[in-house]
Amino acid sequence: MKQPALTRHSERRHLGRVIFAGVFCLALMGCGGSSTTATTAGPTATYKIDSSKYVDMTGTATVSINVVDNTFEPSFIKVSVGTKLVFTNNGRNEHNITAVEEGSFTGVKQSDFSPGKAADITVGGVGEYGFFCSIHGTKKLNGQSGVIQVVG
Amino acid sequence: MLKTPAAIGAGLLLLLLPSCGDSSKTATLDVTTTVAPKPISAIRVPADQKSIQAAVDVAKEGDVILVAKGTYKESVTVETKNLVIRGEDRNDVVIDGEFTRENGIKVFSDGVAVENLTVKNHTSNGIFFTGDYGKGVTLRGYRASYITASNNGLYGVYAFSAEDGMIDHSYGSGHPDSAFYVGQCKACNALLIDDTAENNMLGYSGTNSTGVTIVKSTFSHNRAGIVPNSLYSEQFGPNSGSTIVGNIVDDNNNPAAPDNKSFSVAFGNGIVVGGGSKIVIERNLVTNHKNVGVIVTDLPTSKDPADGQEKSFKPEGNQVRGNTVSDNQFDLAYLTANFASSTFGNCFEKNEFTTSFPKGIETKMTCGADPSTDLGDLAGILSSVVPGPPDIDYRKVAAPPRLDGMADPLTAPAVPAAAPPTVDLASIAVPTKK
Repeated sequence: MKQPALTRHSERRHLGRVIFAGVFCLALMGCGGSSTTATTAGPTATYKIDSSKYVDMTGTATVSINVVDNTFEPSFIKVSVGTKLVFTNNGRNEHNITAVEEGSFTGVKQSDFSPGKAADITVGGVGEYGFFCSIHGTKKLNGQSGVIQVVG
Repeated sequence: MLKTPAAIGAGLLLLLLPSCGDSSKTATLDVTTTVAPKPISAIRVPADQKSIQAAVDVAKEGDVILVAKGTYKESVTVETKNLVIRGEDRNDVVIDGEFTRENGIKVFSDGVAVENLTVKNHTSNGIFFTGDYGKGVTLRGYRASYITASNNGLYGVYAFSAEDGMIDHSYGSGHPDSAFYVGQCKACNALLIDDTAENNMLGYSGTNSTGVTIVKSTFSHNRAGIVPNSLYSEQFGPNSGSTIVGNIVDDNNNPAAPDNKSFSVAFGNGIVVGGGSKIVIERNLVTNHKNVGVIVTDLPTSKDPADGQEKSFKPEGNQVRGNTVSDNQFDLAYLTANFASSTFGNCFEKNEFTTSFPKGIETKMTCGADPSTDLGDLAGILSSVVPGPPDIDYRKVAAPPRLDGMADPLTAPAVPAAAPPTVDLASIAVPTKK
């Protein structure tokens, strides 16, 4: 198979980038979007999630959660008390972060979380914080949803 | 075949007639026993439950929900398997999002069918079927039949992380993305048949969706017609096998269609293979496009999360055969912007066409040709691209016409969604314009 002729194709690549500026913009916003901070309360609910499904990030001060179309990566996160969670919308679509248990933490509105934007959430004390995107998931944790498990 | 109540009534009348006439004559009646079609057993809205959501909430797996004429200002979430949600009248059962609610119906459970109703004016999607690939959940079995979806803020019918689906006899207009979308599925096994998409950014979009069959449908007056594509921004790429046969793809240059900018570059094209592989485009009628009738390309690019680089997928092994393609700036085209100018097994043969890029495309890219054939500089076509006009507000796209619905919505058996039927592709000829 021939290798790409880089010189010959450089013009094409340039023009392609111009034409696909919209796509580029969407992608690039993920690198430098604005950030909002949400406040916290506390949960009372528990969720029947197999412990093996949690990604253990305890002991990490700041945890990044990749928000794409239409899932959270990771969906189930185990963190220590006081951990800051940074959600970044790297998808092409609108998303939001909504607390399953109303009042357990303050979510992030769709209008504050368009593609490319980031939002920080610091949840409260020990417990399980269910969350979902109201556009693409449900309170029953179907679709785009997850749980933050906070341990002492 | 079941007879209608009117036919049964006529039969009874014939039985009675001899007693009214000349009794000396012997009448011989050929009486056919008929059974009146029974109304389907269903939870009725609003007779049994005031709202569609209330009906869904009390429904058990396999139940049928029959919705009477009316406008329903609600957003419905379905998490019960094998429900059939059917409108009594396609045009007069309307789920209206009033441009405030996100989805008309969103479905997270297997085997759900939505039939014979209208979903309009939602900020995201008309009907949304989805699993969650992040948790390894794939929705299996979905169907949207006789649906009119209009003026929703993203997609009309949106199937994501879902397999074994069918969208049939449905219509989508006024969507800033696509009327119909099937994506993020490695073995989609989806069938789109007898559908119509008009006045959308894209008639059909399929990102990283392998195994979609699109037949006997019409894609016209969108910004672009049929766009199977591959993006790094989603999983399961590339799109490695779709079949597009016997469709009418006409005049997709519509400046009055909305545009969410995600595929603006596709403006003025009929069928676009954007970084897909093993896609078969056969016996379609593709006419009147300002750019290209059928184009195979590696574009668009997307950011690969693995390394943060903008990349495109190499188109490989796509086949464009036996289509009737006319009155486009280029009837057929092939473009690789980020790969060498080789065929990569893509081929064009036995199409009726006049113009192509590169010239002589069927000679240079005949099926079975050397996949490393150097096609020269393919950049020239980019300078000929007619750009798309500015976006317009999806809420202001004209309402769709009244459309034929199911023949017998009150009595036709209600069947949950399952894997779609197999279509005899060989029997489908190039369509003629309606």
